[in-house]
Amino acid sequence: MPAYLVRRILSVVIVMLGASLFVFVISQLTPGDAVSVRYGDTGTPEQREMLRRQLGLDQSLPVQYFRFVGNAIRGDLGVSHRSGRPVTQEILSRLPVTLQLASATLLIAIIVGVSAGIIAAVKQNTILDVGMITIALLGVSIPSFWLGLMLQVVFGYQLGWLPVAGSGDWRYYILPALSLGSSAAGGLARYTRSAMLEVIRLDYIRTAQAKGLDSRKVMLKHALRNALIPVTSILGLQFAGLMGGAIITESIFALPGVGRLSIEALASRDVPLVQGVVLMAAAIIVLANLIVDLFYTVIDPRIRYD
Amino acid sequence: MNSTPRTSRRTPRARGLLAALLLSGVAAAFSSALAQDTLRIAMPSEPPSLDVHVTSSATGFLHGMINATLVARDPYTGDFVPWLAESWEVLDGGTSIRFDLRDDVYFHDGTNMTAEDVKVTFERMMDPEMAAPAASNAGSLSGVTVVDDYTAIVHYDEPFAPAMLNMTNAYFGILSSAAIESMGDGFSQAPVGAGPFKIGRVVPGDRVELERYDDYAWAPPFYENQGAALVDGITVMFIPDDATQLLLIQTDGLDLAGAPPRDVLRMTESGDVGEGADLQSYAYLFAGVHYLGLTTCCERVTDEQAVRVAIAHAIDREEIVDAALEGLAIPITGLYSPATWGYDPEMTGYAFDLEASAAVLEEAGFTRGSNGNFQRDGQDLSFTVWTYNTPESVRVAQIVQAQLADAGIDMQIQQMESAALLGSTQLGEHDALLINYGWTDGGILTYFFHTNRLETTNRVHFSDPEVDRLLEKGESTVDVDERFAVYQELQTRLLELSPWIPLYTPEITYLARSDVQGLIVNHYSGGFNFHDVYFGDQD
Repeated sequence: MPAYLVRRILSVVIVMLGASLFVFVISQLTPGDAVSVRYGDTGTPEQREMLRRQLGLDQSLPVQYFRFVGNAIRGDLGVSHRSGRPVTQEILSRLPVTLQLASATLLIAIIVGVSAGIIAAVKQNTILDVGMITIALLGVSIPSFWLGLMLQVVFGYQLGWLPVAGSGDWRYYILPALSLGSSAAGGLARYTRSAMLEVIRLDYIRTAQAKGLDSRKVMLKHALRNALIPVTSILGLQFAGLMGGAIITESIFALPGVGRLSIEALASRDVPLVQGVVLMAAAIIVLANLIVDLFYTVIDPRIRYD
Repeated sequence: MNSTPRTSRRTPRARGLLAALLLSGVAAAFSSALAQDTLRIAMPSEPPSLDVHVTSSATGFLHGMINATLVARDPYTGDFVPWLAESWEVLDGGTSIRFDLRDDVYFHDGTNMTAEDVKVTFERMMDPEMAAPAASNAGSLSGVTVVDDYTAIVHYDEPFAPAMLNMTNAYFGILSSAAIESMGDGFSQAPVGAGPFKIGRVVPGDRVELERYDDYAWAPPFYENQGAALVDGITVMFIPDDATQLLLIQTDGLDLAGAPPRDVLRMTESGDVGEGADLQSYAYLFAGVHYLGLTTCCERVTDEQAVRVAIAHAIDREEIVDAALEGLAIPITGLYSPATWGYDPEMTGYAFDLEASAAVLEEAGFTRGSNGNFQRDGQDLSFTVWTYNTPESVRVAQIVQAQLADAGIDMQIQQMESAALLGSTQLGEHDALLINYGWTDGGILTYFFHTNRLETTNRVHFSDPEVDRLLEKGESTVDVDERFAVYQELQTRLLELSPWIPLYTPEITYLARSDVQGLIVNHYSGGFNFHDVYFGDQD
């Protein structure tokens, strides 16, 4: 296990370096720079040149890149060109909102998706199964921005049950989490169903049923635990999808999270902020996958990383 | 105004709050329950900073509430009126302005405003280390002399005609020198001014809550209310999506929000907006112009004046306004909006005339090809326009495209995100731009046409010694009538050479809840004055 962990952490470092190089190159290819961001239509050529020097933009690209990586390793992601505030501070001030949204979304996706998957598998080839899988397919297919607008209109505007948008207590997270979670729930339902169907055909399940065990116990204790192994790996990928989906959902529901921050940073060509957000997203996704891998050993004691 | 300040709000909100308390019982809901007389305004995005010396997008909604300027602009007449300065005098042929300050002004930190604050504020703005975007709007401002506690003289190296107009802008708000010194770098996070509202809570990316400054007693004379603001505070919420803003104001989640003209028209027709409805509409003319900019360098097809003139003759502005903008705009033939100083309705440029367009091209050696397009040397007369990827810009571009097609000119449209578009124009790799500018003084054209801006904001890469001379003369001519004549001459020259083809000035439309009273639309600065606002029944 320790050797595996070291290997994985090394791979995390390589992935992060790759991500940093990728985002640096991409940000250099996009038009506009910090000087345009700061001055907009104002600023004399002399003022612009002075700011360029102050920000180190007059140095060569490799120098700028290695300075960026060196600072990032020390936890300094630079200063936002737009606001003049440290990038780390900007991201940390928005991260709680995104984490709350992601948690609520995952919770909905797991509860709804896994339950629907189990029911569909147990009731295979019944109307219930077809209904569940059709709904799951819809969940995966409906774009989250459209669903978000519909939820706002129905539950916020027409029924007035929930806030249309904005941030505050937990009620503000219900509609965004439903909008973002529908796709994840649909995907999980389909994977859980397939995994359960594979498992419940195995001999040990037949044996358990032959012994006269309670069928609910057989499904939940014997079958589900094994079926969850592939489903868990999907959760890691779903989490990556959530980070992307949060960009649109947070904009529609006016949630001040990292997703919206990334849109604002991109729209204003705030390169340090874009780099910071991308690195943070990469770090979260890599860590989420690492946690999922380690979690395998908990749900399946046969798995050993030696 | 028969104002009954701070009347209680409607029952729907009380019901909503009760429900919120029952449902959640959390502190956040309780705090919003207390804020019953707070004006809630939507803005599409958060300004980069609340410090006017850091941001290039200061707004009247926020910065103009926190800061007070030496001089204000009367929303009804456009005249300069006293604010922090009781009076002023232009000295030395326009190279100095003496401001006699009020002695009863106190910043939000409780310190008395003196001439030293004026000096520290303007020197901070002009400090190269500060890199304040507003510095380039200050002309050759070279320093401030403190004559006594309440008299300051602002100096310029050369006469600077837009000086007084700029002094009314939120960028030129006077800041507390004591706070600048004591807060250091922290000042930019929580600037201290002398405006009617002070900064309360800031939730990055979400909202800024402004609190009424109770000691405020120096409102400009055009306000009925000369004391502290009538509302308890202003909450500015950052909501990027138009549809979300609309839903929020319809469900009483906002009091004032920008709304696309299309939606305002639709809702007015359906009775959701207007007399007796929950919402009222407000509009003001944008202090700027949407234009077709034609690149005049780098061997682009638009570098040839005959081509530019032919394009100018081929554009029907009336059709653009009617078909793309629902009539909620005015066609513009000069280079300024009626809300910008320098506007002259007599400036007409090249009129819509397809025959004249064809004649100009034929004279330049173009002939009609079999596909209907004008051609020269076997090549179609064709160019690509870059425009913003917003629905309005794209609709306008499509109509211009159709009009030019009728004139035998092919125009391709390339949509771009605004920062990418503006950041890509320095190399002159574009034929044309369909974008806009906004400012309240005609001197702004220096940014777009002066030769010394070729590397930055002169996006059409235009250079003409006569235009440079007129731009410089316009900036330094203090006499108003003489200056106006300079800008008439400048516009005539620019319209003749046609690096820009002005198209229209849109109306900016807003929706407000009907219980928001006392809202003053400021047509001269483009925006609203909130000092007289209170909540009450419709008159």
